Amino acid sequence: MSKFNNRLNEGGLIDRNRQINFTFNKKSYTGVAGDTLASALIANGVDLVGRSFKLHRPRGIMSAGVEECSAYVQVGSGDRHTTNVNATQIEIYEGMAASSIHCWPSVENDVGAVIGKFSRLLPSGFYYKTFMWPAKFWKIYEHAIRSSAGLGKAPETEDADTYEYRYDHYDLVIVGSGPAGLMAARQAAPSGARILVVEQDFKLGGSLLSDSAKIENQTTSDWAESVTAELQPFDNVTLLTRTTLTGYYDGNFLTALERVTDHLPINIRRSGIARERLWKVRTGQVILATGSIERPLVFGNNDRPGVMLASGARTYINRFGVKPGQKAVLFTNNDTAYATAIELQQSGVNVEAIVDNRQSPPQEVRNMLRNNTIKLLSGSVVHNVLGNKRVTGVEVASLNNQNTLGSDNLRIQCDLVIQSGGWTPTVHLFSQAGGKLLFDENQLCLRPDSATVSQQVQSVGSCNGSFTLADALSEGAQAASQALANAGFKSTDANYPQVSESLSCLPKALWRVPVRKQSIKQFVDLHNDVTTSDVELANREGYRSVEHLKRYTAIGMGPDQGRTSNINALAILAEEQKSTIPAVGTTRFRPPYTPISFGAVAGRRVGEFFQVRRKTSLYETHEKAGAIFEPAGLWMRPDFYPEAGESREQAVLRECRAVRRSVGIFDASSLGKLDIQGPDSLKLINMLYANGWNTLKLGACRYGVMLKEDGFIFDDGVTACLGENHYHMTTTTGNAETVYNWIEEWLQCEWLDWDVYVTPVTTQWAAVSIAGPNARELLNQVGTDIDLSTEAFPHMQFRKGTVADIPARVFRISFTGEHSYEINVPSSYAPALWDALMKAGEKLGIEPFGLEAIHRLRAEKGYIAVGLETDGTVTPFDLGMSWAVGKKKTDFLGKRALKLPDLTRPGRRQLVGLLTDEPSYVIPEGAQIRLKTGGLSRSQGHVSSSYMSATLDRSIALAMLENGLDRHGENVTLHIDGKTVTAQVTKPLFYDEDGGLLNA
Amino acid sequence: MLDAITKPNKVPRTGAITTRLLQQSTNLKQVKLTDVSFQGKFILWGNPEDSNFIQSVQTATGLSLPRQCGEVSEKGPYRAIWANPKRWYLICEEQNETELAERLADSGQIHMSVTDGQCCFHLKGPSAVDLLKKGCSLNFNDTHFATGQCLQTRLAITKVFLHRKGADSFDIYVERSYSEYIWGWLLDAAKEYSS
Repeated sequence: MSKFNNRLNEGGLIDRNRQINFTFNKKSYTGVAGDTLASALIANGVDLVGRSFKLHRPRGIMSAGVEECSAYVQVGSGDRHTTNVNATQIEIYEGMAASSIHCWPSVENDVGAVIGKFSRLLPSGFYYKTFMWPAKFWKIYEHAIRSSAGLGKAPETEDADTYEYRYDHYDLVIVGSGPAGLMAARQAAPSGARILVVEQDFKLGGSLLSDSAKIENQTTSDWAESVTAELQPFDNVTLLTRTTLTGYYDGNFLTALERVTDHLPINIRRSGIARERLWKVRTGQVILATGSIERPLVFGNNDRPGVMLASGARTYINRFGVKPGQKAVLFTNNDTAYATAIELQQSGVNVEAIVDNRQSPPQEVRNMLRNNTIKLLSGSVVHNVLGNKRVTGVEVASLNNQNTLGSDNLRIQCDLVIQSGGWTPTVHLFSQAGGKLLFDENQLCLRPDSATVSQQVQSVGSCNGSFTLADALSEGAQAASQALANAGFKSTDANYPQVSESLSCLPKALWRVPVRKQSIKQFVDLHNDVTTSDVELANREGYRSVEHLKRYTAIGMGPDQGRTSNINALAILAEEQKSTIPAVGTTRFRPPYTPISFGAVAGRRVGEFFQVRRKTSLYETHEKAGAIFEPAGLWMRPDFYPEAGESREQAVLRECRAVRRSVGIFDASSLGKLDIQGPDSLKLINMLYANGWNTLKLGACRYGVMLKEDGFIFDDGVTACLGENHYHMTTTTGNAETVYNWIEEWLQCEWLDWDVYVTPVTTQWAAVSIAGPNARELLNQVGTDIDLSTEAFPHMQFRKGTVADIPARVFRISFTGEHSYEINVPSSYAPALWDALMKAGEKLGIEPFGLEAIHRLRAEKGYIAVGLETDGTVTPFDLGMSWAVGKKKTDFLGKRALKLPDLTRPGRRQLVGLLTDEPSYVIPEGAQIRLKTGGLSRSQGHVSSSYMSATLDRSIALAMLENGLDRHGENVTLHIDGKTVTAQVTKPLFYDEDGGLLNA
Repeated sequence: MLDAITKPNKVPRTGAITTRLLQQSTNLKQVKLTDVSFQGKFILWGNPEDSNFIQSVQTATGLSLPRQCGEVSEKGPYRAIWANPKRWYLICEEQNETELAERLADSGQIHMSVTDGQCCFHLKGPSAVDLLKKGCSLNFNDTHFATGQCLQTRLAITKVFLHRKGADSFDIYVERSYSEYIWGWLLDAAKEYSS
């Protein structure tokens, strides 16, 4: 147990009978059900929670909510490690292990704290100014600087948790469940509209859980409980706790992060249940009831542990039943903190004095003090806090009209400084929604200007600058009625509950308290260690825009997003510029409101679900055959089929030899297939391909290249005529979707009146290719009713029939240069077909071959591969394929571009073959062919495909070479990794030059 | 048209989902996931403004084709799903496939079988909607997605058709090569409901 027990004997929304054990910085503590980590630490007398970001100053707990900018901790370790979590928001659970961030070796004895001693040497921009030169050394400095600053440690192992999205649609989303939000929900629920209430806390009620006022003679927390119970039976109302609305986008699209399991002991977190759920919600209406955040005052050493917001102190007393200190001094510029003073006193905290900068606070609050014998020091300020790891006292002086300190100085001993600088409406979501803010001179705050937002959103309660309880309740009910009317639902008359009078704010501006010594630091942004002198420096150095101030000092950045510092920084900047807050302006708030884990952003798109792996219907067949797969686009295709002990190279060469000597079998199913029907089919095909199609007879196939409008090849393939006005088009695997989208774009945008229908049927048909001198024999053996004689079924023809008793479309086409058939069957029959072919081919020595083998075989024939020989800058003429361009055609896509001067100029790179002088040397693909002119050397071409050929027993390559068509027989030089390689230019054809094998 | 009308009885067919993955669906609670991919599926093309087209389809199949996004019409064992302004999916049980193919051929209209190119999973159970909401941004309220409607949408990262057959009962049509991803994704996302 620790030195103090600050737990009150009674009161609060906690269950003292349910004790929960946890550790903080490896020490064991006990809290109770209903505690946050912060309330449990305070109950156990832990003052020092962390070290500050830059200066390593000791820091404690300064609030009880989302505005906490000091008590950031990390929770868990190993595969369940979360850093930079807010101690004031996380619930403790049995076995929780939390620790401080950025301190070493411990928060008590932090080596980095020495930095604080030299803090005068570390103004904003220090690192960038000091470590600018020599520039190359920044990498070395940066490492040391980053490790001494930084926020928390990144996890080192893979996250054990899962995350997911939840999409949903509502008529009304209510953000916040304080008085305004709960009242809105109660008013809207009976209408039947689908309503989502989002609350970041683990309990509904917001400020009602901390307030000491009365609603209908109930405590505010009892009232919240009774309204919650009233809402629960409504099926149309979803109450989401532990959920932060993080983003507000166009079209009333909202994102919210639900923390599903973080509050549960690790041993009962069930696998399968996501740790966090990222809600993506579309809604007709939004009511923002996000409340307000109390503003700190800016005074000397205002970051010491024990300096706390009044709203935090009252939450600890009223909600958590803990005393945040023993002896308190309150420092305020408005009325609201007076209630806290009374509550502290009644809970047994000695309130030594209340220090108010106003000369004469209203009689009403003065009476409150008199009744409780609390001393009031009006017209005075706390200008310095004493103590280091905990407050030991304050120095108070009067403040004269010139905003300077009087000569009087009063020291008061205390361990708690309660402060209130007025209230800042939480306008982040309103701003994200596109709304602009206006400055309220009376309340000294920025509040929503509802006229400036075009989305269906209303702000109610204190986030709208309406700070009294009665106003919050009535605005909530009215907004609900309005939202229901907008959404077409009926609402009943509102029933406004009776409220005991609550204090209004009435602040007097006090943006920074003068200090007696320059060395005393006054923090504007505790989270980023930004002081008043940093803001002043930024302004002196010309960073006068609020956006520049933010980037120069880091004010308002990071997990805290300036929730407490924003207005104070603006006001100080305005004072420095002798200007006003509205003139200085504010930064636009951006999502997320509070940090979102990367896990939640990724959701289920991790691991095996990161991307689709498309598989052909033969995938398992290949797997059983021991195939090694290779991704081709999204497809997983067999690269090669190794036998025991074989290397990839050995396997590929064996596969190539099998095709050339007897017969091989290949899965071509992933090739794109399009079914084209309708009277205008031929017209469409003629436009898509560069070559002519009018003479294509029924049952015939033809190869074609497709060009984009720029004249460059983007795909190629074979199209067959299946019947009158019925064609079967094939594309490359990678371009199947691209070609289909390209066709649809033309049909939907340009050729609307064409009567033609294109359907992707890639996966309807599996395609099994058999290739080799024995292909015909294999087909005969497996059994087919198609006449396979050369006369009846020549090369580049198509026939329907059965193969192995399976209905099939058989295309006699070849990508290997061998006699070859591509057998198309409905996908579910492909494994049966493959097995039958393998069985029938056993005696012929049939072997499956993969992607690498087919690439080598096609390169031997000089067949281009889209994406290797073409790269989006290659015309058919560059490839020596002028035969694939219809000279007599009146039009086709890309026709005009082919006449552009640049596409017809001499010197373009053209397809050639290369044979290295050293036959065993395989040139790396992408190697450059060099040209030396004078003393200079430049590239005159590049190698596009290069392989060891099993057929030729030597290396072969295809290359794009300047004027290559005219340079066969020349010798060229390549420089590869400092080595010179010589090769002879040949025509791009190394095998069966007259095509006799194909046509046999 | 040949197009697998004459289906050989003795040749085994292989579904897109492996036996191992099919078996994993038996562990699910609160939702039931079954593969019904062998049902017959055709695409039909035509101009709905052309009364000859509408009439010939009706004569051949009895179906009056739906004209609006989301609409489905049924007649006897056949179902027509609106896919785009000129395109429909025609669905039937496996045993009716040959008959429907013949009827479509009789109609003389442009059509093709996609039985093997499209998979169909049936998802049913009290958590079905919650499960789909993990990966689909459709509005599942019955005012926007009523029983009987079929909508084209995105589930996880793939394109699907969702045919709502009841408050918590759906047919999910997905292209064959994406089907294993969707099947595995549904199993994984449904782990929450397994006990």
